[in-house]
Amino acid sequence: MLHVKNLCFSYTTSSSAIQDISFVAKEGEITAILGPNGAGKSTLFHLILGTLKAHSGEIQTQGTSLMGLSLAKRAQHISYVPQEWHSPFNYTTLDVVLMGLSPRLGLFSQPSKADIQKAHEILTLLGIAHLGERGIGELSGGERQMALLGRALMQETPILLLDEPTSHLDLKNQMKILSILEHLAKTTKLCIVVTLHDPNLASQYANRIVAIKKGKVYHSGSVQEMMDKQRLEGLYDHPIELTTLDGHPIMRGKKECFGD
Amino acid sequence: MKQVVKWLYSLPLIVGILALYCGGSEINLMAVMNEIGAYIAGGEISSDTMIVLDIRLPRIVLALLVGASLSGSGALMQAVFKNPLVDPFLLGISSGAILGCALSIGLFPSIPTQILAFAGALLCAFAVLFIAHIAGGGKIALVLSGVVLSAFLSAMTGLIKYFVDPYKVQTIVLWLLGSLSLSSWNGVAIVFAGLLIGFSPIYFLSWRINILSLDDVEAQTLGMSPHKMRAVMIILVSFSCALAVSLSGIIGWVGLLTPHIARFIVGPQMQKLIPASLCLGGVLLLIADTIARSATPYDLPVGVVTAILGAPFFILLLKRAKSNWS
Repeated sequence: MLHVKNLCFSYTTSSSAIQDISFVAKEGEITAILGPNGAGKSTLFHLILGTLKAHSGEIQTQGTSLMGLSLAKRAQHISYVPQEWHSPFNYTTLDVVLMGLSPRLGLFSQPSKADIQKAHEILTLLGIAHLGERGIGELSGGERQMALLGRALMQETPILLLDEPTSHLDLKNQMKILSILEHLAKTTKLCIVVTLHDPNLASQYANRIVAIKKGKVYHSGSVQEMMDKQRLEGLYDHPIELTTLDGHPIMRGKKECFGD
Repeated sequence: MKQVVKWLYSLPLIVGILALYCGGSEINLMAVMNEIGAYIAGGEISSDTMIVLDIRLPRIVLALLVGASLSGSGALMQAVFKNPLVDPFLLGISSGAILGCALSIGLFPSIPTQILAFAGALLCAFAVLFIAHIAGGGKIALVLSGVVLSAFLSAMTGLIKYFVDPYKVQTIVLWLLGSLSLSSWNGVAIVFAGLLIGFSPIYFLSWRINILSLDDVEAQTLGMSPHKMRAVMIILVSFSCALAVSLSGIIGWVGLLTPHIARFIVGPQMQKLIPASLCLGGVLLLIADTIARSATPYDLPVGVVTAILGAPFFILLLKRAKSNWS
């Protein structure tokens, strides 16, 4: 379980990027972080990951505070899937997955045969076993996202953070990666926190939603609570229409005629 | 490709033996070997054997070690700065070492060249990082700050040449052209020490350096402190590179080009790339130096040969790798 309490942070002295944010993400569930551009979703992730230092507040997992932990220790609790792969070097998919061992390996150590076997199992689980020896630069966006998810799974942490994992993917790959996350949450009891731009994906796959606006929690609760016309219009400052499909509330933004 | 990798590590020995045959005097290597055996047993040695033992062999070994040091440093720098266009010259490490050496030759002869070279290399590498940091910290900022500082340091080296006496100017100019003609077993020992002390920890940390080649935030989320690790890498590389440059002068392209060839053969994994770059860099510099001392009756500066061969080769590489660098 990830417990964020009264988290505050600002990039400048004049304005706060994150103001008093609190929420709980439970194991075995997907918690979606929703919010418009610039709401503070990425900043919140960086604070949880420890790549930015919170001015005040508390982040706990299983009752243990993460605030004073080194990056190496923190990386044993939380793994992270970035939006994109950032390296000019064309490592193989297997190499990328093995990089997830970094927080647990000694300074001068290298992956063992058992580690490589484990990485192959993860590739099989994600359905990309055939891509193990392929360079990551040669993969499609969806396959690359799978490789990065594989790296996070290799970290074997109880909490998994994904920063807009669907933003560069087509519909099929969006569904694929979120279905895998849903499966992982149910079967491995992972606590998954994911930022999403599309409330409909959150409605389909998340167990709870934390909506953020202007650095504050706008609403935190179940999917049903959040998928409310008034709440969504307030969150995005835009008129919407709401329908239901297969029991899931589905949102559609109202068309805006430019110049009217 | 596995066959190529297998041959790669035997290349220094093969090319080294072939290079022993190249030079002004024709030498019968078997006779020399027999004579060395007799010499150990208390016999005399001929001038041919002296040429091999005191001139060709130290020069060949020095070429292998200097090439290895420059190329290994290039491979490491490219990973550490996540930029395939970085080499020890571009980041100011070599320029700093050169200024240190010029200071030692021209103004402070009492201070050993290697000490001033190391100090210059280290100072300049951190100065480039600092300038790049205040300019936004991106790849372009890093490359540009390296270019700017290298130009500044070249001007400082030029200034030293202007003020010192003509004999010292000649020494500095010849050394700046990059040459292994003054090689000796002492020089070999110095460069070997630099390579051993600098690259032993780098080799043992090689798997972790892969993580350093990722985005800094990603490296942090994988439990690494990239700033600390980068500083350690810069110190180690500056040490090895400065000692090599203090003996060889400016030898361009080896540090930039060879890691790309090595990466093409063994891939980007640092645990394979570092040994391959060390090996290939040594071989390429040895080939260039053998051409430099054998192609004409004059002993050409090897830096000129690497520049002539390196530029077109790099254009070919750029053409091949354009899709990855865009």
